Amino acid sequence: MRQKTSLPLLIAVLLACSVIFVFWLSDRLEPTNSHAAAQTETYQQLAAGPAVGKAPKVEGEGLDELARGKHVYKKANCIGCHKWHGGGGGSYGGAALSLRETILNREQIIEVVACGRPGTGMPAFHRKAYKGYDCFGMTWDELGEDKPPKPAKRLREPDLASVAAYVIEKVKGKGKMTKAQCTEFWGEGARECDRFK
Amino acid sequence: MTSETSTRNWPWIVAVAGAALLAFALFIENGELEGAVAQVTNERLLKTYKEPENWITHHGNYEAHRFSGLDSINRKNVKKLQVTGTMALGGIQAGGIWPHGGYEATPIVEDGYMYFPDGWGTVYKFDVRDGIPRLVWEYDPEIDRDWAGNVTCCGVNNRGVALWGDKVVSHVLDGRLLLLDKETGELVWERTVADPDKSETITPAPLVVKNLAITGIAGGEYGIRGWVAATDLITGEEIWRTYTIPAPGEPGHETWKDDHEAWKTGGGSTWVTGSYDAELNLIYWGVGNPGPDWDNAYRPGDNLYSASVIALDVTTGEIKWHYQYTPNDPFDYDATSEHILVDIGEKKMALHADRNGYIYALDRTNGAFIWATQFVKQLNWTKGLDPKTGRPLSYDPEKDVQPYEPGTAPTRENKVGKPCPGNMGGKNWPPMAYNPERKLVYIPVIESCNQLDLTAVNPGDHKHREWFTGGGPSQPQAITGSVTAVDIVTGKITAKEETTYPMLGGVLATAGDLVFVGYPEGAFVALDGKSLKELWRFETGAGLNAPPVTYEVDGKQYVAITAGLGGAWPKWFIDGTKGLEKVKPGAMLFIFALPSGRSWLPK
Repeated sequence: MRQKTSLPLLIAVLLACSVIFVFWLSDRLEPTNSHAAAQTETYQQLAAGPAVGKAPKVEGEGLDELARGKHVYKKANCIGCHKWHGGGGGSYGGAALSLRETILNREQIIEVVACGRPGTGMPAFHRKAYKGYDCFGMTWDELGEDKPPKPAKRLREPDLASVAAYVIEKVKGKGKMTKAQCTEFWGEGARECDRFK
Repeated sequence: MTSETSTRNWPWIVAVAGAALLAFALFIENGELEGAVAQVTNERLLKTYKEPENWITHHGNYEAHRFSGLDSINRKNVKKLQVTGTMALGGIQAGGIWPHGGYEATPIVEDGYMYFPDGWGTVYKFDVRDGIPRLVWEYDPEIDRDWAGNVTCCGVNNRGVALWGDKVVSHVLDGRLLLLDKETGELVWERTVADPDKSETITPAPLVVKNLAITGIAGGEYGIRGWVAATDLITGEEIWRTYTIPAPGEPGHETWKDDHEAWKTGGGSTWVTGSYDAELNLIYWGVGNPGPDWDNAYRPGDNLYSASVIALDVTTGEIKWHYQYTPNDPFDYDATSEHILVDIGEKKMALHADRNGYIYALDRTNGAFIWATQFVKQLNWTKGLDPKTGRPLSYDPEKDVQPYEPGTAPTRENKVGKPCPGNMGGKNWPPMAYNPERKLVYIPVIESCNQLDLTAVNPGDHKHREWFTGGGPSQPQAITGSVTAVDIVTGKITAKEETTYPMLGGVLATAGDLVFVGYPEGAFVALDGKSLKELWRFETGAGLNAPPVTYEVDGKQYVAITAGLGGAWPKWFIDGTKGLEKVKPGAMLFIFALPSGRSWLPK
């Protein structure tokens, strides 16, 4: 005679197996580590520059002088205090001077960019400022408490010349900002310029 | 007959027992099987003390205590704390006026999974169950970094995400609110809450209350008109938006006494996550400086509700009461930072360590002043505070434009002011923490004086997406820091641990009687909860300007902190902290635990 207990026994065995399977399954679930994609993008941005592993002789190599000067203006973060239009004014960087209203000539602009302005927030962008590159006839030690801040990025002499040219030609005496000037700086379609009529 | 019955029944007994066992197995493994996702409910958010192993809301709990009930790591053994794992993160790209991003985020941790954003808004989920971070997913909102980065005064910042049900809620610097699936990291929806075309950006973590996400904005240096907004997370619709600067006809507008609509560019930003009292149905949100920051002659009058706290009905957004810390503020003394909610006896208090150098205790039911204490070493802008009202004694009710103490505020006549504390505080956004056993708050202090130079502002000067500050600061003298403990019953300072550099990250207090804080030059330290003596230090070699958290997995306690110097300091205020300019940008996560004590629970 066939045993009547075979069905419940089967269920019991299946349930026991299921319990064991649940515990085994939870141990198998592991996340993967896929960081590579994000890191690649960051490195690509940091490495932006000529594809052949050589540093440029001048910033914006291959462009004309004014375009190089604008490139320097952005790269050296002049925008941070003088704003993109050079109008200066208040910010956490202090009350930076307006380059649109400046009376300095090309040589004087080169001097200020290279040597900074002692006692203010204007950095000295030349690597050898006060230490071989003549700055107001003063030495680094003579500056005492008035040493200008170190910039985030140093500029070489051709870059000092091109940014001075840019300021003289494109910023100094240019009056109110216009949409054309904004677009010229940021590019066609830049959201920055939407507010200009 | 009996023996036959019992023989026939035992497999059924086994079957029922097996079914019960299976149900039990599924129940305890529920977090790891597909379809069974832990839900962060309103109930859980109201009672975070029930799950000390987790950190499921930005400030630790709705009362903003940033206190953990965990005590396996304590004063006796903290000196053995060591790294269990680290992870290099993203988000240090340049954008706008910023040469790199940094980390101010407080991680959220639930059941051994950690969630936090980088400054540009990528949200990360890490499995940290064994102390070694392993990426589960990341979501990149693909922000236009130049567009947002050009109108961000103070760094590429995102201070944290929130959890709601089985979703992650996050802001992006460019003004978006995102809803992500917690398991997959996929976008459910996004909406634009703030508009960078108006110089509005978002840096605080969202506050989730029931089904609402509360958003605050940054932009007080750009002439915004500040607000707090609530989005319904179910429908994605905005439910209310409350402006912090009243328009004509709205209560408080009479405190803007000019004739050139200064209220439209009045500032009043709201860039630190607030706290919430469920019984009173109020959220407490700090409001930033008025605009322009330093030319207060442009905006005569007290300038409500700038430099104030506002208590909002969370359902309607209505302002129920307010308290103003610095009327007609000429210093940039934002009052944005957190309000810690504590009950002492019958008193329901809200505690706030202000930019202006005072810590205030207010009655959070009605905004009545209880006490205030100077927590900085040097303070010169007012002779003190009125003992009944807490108003600055050097406030002149006969004047609409407040000079405060001579020489401290910059004025149109004498363009230079030298206030202590300096414009960054005092105390800035880095949060303090509260130890309910000691009844102490621990304040991360910036001990400073600085200089403010005024440029007068004329009507019509304001331009969209341009700074609107009326001058700027400089740092002629060294700025240092401290962690300062204040007894909230007596209102007195009980300890002060002085530091070389200002506190830029925020503190964590634990039931192990410890205070954890990261120093900007790289040291991550644990201080004694009573004396504030340093008990443990780990040199991360990375700039620390984020608050730490602690959590537990399988019975083992961990401490974690994100690292990467950023924010306003390295760009604008570095000349006050010589040496700090040597700290390089970076993006790291550090996790620590005690070396011994294997958990007895199976993994």
